[in-house]
Amino acid sequence: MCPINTVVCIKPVPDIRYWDRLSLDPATKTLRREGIPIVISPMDKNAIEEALRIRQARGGKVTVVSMGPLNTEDILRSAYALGVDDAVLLTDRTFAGADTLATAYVLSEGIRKLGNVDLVLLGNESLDGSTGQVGPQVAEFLGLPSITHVSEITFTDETTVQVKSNIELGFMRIETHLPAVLAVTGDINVVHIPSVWGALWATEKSIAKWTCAELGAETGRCGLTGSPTWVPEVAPIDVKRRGEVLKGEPTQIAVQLIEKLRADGVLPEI
Amino acid sequence: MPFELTPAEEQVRKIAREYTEREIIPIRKKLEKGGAAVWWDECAKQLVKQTEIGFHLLIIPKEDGGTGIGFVARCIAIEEVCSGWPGINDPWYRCEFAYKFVKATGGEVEKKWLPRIIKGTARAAPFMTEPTGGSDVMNITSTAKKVSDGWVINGRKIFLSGGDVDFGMALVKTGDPADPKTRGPRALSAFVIEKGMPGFKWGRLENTVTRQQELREAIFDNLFVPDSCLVQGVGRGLQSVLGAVNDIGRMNITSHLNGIILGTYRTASQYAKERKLYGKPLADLQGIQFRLAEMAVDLEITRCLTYRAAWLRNQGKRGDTEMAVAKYFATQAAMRDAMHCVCIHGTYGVLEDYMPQRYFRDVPVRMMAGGTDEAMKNMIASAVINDANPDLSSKNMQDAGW
Repeated sequence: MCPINTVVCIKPVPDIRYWDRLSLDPATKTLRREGIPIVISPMDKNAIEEALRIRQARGGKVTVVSMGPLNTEDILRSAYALGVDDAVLLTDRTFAGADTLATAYVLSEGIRKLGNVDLVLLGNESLDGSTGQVGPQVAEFLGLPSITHVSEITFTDETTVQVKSNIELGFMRIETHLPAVLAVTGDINVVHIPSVWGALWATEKSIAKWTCAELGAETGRCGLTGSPTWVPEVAPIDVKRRGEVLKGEPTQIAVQLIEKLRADGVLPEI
Repeated sequence: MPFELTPAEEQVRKIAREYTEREIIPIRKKLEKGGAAVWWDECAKQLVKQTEIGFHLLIIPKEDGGTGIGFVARCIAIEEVCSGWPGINDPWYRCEFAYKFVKATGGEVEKKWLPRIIKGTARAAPFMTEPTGGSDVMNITSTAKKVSDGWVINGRKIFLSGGDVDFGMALVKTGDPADPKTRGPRALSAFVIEKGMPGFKWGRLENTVTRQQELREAIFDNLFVPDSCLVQGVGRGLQSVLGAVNDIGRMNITSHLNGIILGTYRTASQYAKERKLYGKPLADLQGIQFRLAEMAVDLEITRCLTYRAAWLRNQGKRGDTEMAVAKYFATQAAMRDAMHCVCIHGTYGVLEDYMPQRYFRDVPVRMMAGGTDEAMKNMIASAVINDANPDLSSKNMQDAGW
């Protein structure tokens, strides 16, 4: 069987253990992340784990790619600890402020530069932004098929995969030829705890750093300049409970309840 | 000395924390309610997971099949794991004792046991304490008499931790009181004693306030051991065993205590932010803030002392007195901080379903193990007074910034 070379796109997100220390900058509507440790977005870790399983079964190489500032190196080292073969950091001031489209453009340029890629995996959505857009966008830029919400990947022959793609009340089975982009969910596997050997690999292996110029990317399509979307408002949702006691016989209470739910728009009018 | 952890040490902390959060914290209630039987059963399961991760390989050099990452990383791993549940690192800790003993013994013993130690399937413990007292090693009464191709050992050891280990290193008397050349420390020799050797059996089990880590008695009744089980030669037992006690035992217990301090600090600070009193979080009250500040200070100091002693070992230096300093401070700090944690939780702090009381119950057991506070102070005082002591002479104290 021929080996499969997989690229996994990973994103740094604030460590959930410290989320109570995050705050919103009222001027820029972005999270103040200074001093908060970063980790690999959880579903991206599932993507790494799946890539490692494919490597175990089929051979080949697993490369992680991430776009971010220099401190993103931390999560690439964590990816090495999990057992990946190579890591690439796409880092340039031009990339700052990117929305999902600009991010996907840069990632796709990184994947193009790597070359010889059979499969691209990434988490279906990140822990912080949760848009779920980057996977399909990367696929579009690379001209590849993409499938999202993937909870199972099986090879039906050398270069064809059948995946289980979750939908609201069930799943679809979809086949596609490689190369392809698959966005995986958290239930695809259980990520292993790295071994202490991973701690050595994490420190001994090198991380390639590619700038905008080295990628040959168009600066106008990167970062804030290349972002057609922006966040105009972020506000916390204030959830308050409204307690009300309905009295009477059970049938009377039922009638009152239905009237109230209709008035609140929870139940439709018949 | 450098105050930053190496990248490998940082990674080990992340790995240990992830293991603790995923494997240990979810089974806390089971461990608390289950008693000794559940404890040993869970230790067997955790041994598999811990050795898969390779915690036991941290201090084993690469040439022996380990990672060689070192003693500081080991302290960090023990600290994180014990913050989740005190003592749950015991499975891999016994592999480390096994390694130290077989390396000290060499020969057939090393050849037989090293591969199993690297795989994580061999566990050992020191057999030192006797009814005459743990601190008073010179007055132990177990004896070994030379016979044609080995030794016959008689005596008993008590308060042995680690459960049903595969072998132990026993400190026994081989000296002749009438011969001045075999008096004092030269009266003592060490032997590797394997489970199943005729004449060796486990005796009484005693449970501690932890309600799970039973302490055992070992009985040697005309126990024959071959010459290959003698460690480093006749009269060299004390040096061998004390080396293992410092590197493996005392460093583990100190890091275990640091784990208790870390666990109480995390538990208390989280609770103080969530629990409301008088309409605002406990953490807004200055009295609670002062307790949390004291815990934070204790954590910083104990880490610095422990990592420094471990760092000396990484450099190939002894650091026995530095380790005694660290252990003594850690026991005092752990007792204080366990009490702070209980007090911050109020009555919840003394309920069995909550961690503060579990941390609190554990500290006295660690005070007695690996050398009592008094024994540590003896060591430190001896180093202060005795300028010839190579571990912590007055010159070294200045070099160390004291």
